[in-house]
Amino acid sequence: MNRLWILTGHYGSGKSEVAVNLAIDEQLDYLVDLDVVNPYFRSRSVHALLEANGVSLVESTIEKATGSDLPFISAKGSRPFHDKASRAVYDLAGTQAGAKLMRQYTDIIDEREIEFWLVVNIYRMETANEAQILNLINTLEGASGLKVTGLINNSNLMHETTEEHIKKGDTVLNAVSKKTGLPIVFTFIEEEVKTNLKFAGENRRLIRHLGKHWL
Amino acid sequence: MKTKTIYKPTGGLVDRDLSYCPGCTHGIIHKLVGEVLEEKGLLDEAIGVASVGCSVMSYEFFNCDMQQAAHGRAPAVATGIKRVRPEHTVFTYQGDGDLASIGMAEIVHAAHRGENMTVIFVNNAIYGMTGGQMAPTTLINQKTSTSPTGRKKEGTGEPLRMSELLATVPGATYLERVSVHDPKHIRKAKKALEKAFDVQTKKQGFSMIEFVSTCPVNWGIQPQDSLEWMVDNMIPYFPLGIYKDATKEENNE
Amino acid sequence: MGKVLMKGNEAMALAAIKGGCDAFFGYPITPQNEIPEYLSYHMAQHDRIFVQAESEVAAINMVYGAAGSGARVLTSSSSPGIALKQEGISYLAGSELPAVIINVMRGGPGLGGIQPSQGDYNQITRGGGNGDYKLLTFAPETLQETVNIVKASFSLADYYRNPVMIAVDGLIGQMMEPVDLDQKIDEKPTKEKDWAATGHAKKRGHRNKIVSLYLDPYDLEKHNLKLKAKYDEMLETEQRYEMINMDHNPSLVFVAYGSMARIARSAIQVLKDAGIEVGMIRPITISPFPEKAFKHLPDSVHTLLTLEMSLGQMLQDVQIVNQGRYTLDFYGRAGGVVPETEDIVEKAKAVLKGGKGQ
Ligand SMILES: Cc1ncc(C[n+]2csc(CCOP(=O)(O)OP(=O)(O)O)c2C)c(N)n1
Ligand code: SF4
Ligand SMILES: [Mg+2]
Repeated sequence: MNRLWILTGHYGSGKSEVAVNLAIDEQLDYLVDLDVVNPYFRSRSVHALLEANGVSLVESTIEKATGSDLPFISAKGSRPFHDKASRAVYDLAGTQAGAKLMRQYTDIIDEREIEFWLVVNIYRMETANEAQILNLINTLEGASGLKVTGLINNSNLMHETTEEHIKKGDTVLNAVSKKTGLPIVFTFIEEEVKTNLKFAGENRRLIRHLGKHWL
Repeated sequence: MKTKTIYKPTGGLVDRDLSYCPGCTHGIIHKLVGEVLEEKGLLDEAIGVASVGCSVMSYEFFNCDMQQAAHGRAPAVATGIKRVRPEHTVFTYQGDGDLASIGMAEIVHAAHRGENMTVIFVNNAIYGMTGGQMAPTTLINQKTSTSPTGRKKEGTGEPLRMSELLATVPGATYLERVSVHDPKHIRKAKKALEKAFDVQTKKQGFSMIEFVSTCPVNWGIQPQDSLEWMVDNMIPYFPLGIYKDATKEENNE
Repeated sequence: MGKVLMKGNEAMALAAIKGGCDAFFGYPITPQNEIPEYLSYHMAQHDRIFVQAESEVAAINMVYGAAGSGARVLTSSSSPGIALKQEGISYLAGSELPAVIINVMRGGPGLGGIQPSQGDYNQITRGGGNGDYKLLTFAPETLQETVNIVKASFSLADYYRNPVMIAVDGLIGQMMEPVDLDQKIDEKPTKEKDWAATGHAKKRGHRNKIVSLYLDPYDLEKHNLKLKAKYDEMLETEQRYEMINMDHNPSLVFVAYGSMARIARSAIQVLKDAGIEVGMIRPITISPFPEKAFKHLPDSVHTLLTLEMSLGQMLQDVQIVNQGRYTLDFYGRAGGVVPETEDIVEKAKAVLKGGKGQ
């Protein structure tokens, strides 16, 4: 696995939650929040948690200014590319709008250092089946100029998720994997879901750090 | 096209980091405006009006008194200020969504009345702040979040050229479109700003300097390529130059 | 289709298409941008109308035109943009035109901030624009409820020939939740829009005029009274609310709507676990205000605690319906600050102890 993990996907596929979980579980050095689209529920909203876990958060140039929608990408976002010993996760905003932000780094990206992972929730209408996901891969690769290197199954209906839902996601993603040769790197399993099944890739529990329990 | 110009800090800007994204020309434009205000000794008397867009926080950056306006209304706010304080230099700093969309009435009528003010208009062909929606200045076929398949002439029109449009308004005095993509053009842009503020000081009326600008983030282009994209795509549609100079006519008379 | 996971704004946009929306006119503003963005693509796919207007003022007047010529029309915005639309909304009400307006509220006044708020309550429930008029306004709590209301709102607007507003705070617009977009909903019977100015005067045999101008004050008063009768009918038949945990004889009852009700709901659970029963009146319509709910409280009730993401706006409505019956208390946050469950729990405990919280 290369050292820089860039998460892409349809918006609402759960990239930010996955990014925060990965950053903490894997003790990554940086979480780069490049979400300029969503005004709420961005990974930067848990800056204290990340700091406490030793993860440096890179966000807007005006830090912690949640009251504004100013995009203001920080130049620090390129730091993990230069800091060769570091490991980082990049949390992009959804779909093309997010993926095209990677164009900023075209000149400094070394393909041998990165993973470009597609986070998929098949309960998002736009990524419900194999054809749609293949299509999305094309779109995102076009927008970002990067090749997708792996898949993450994050199929869920939040608190209504059951084992069945994850299984269905597993089936769809396995089909995508077969067609494209892309590995399923992780399957995220909603914290409360009871299951003994083993799904494709590394199985991880998803802890919702961004959403409050009343959400 | 890589440009490296080292600027000395200007007293025209507050001593703090500008918050704009890498490759965004809002920063250079701020510095130019700050320099001109400082060099002309206007900082102690100028009053600026910040608009709503990525430059909304310009009230934190320009080293003079500032007032923040509602989206599009900066020229009306500036009119109020100027009428009460005619001896003061009054300027607005507005984006293309702010000036050419929601604020169309205010800008046309400020020019029409010949308000003695200076407008700094930053045209990046998109709504930067709100996440890359289509602006009136968005180019044909340019993809934005509200023109996901590219802007079409049918139904959304062709990009508005504000300098040209305002040149038809009798009250406007000085209109020039500039760019800051290389040192030569930066020098030219600064000259234009000097001229615009001189027009105001001489009470000659309404002046606007339009900057063709970038938004690498919402265009989805790396910062260093965004200037090139701007030169190749925007300047052909938004040609640089002086669109109106009524001070010349006055001189000739 | 089964359940899917959707973001609030996106769900409202799709629900509008399902509710038969013919045309959308809007202008970008956070935190509702996903609505125009979604519709900029999907309205065309459904062969319907989408226009990004040059401003909110233009957008609401496009709504006025489209509604006047008989279409089912939607616009959406957030607080500063809704403030700009007030003139047009007053014209819609005065001309008795149906339209649906989504307000994804953020903090104010002025440019304020982009975080969630319920600070537009007074503007919404007291008219907002000039003249004697009211909106039928829903303030849903979950995405499923929101979707169902958006779908039904077009038929309600048509039925009353009145603008309908869906007022959610930014959280509801931005959060994700599983929804079923095809749940069956109650719709008002459709009537032919024989009043619309459709350009068929000859065929119709008479001209239709969409106006809000009355030259004779007596005529205008008659028109005002006709509108009033309509608002009275809404007051009688459209009040919607939910009563929560009332069968456990609570002495304290929360009054809360939208996201605040979600937080209050989780506080009720926490209190229950601690052996304290608290009830809640959850207004689903905030205009008309659900005064009926206050008439059916159990005898155990002593205090009403109004909870808002604003500083005492709905409280005034509670005071009006309460007429001194119960002890009233209040907890509000503003500026986009969202309270935690614990804040509400603490406040409730303080009130129950007889002390004033906050
Ligand atoms: C009344 C109102 N409507 C909409 C908005 C949302 N809004 C904020 S900035 C903006 C557009 C900014 O674009 P532009 O003026 O081009 O400036 P840029 O960010 O590109 O520099 C919009 C629509 C608002 N703040 N107020
Ligand atoms: S979003 Fe665009 S206009 Fe705004 S600061 Fe960034 S690059 Fe500049
Ligand atoms: Mg712009």
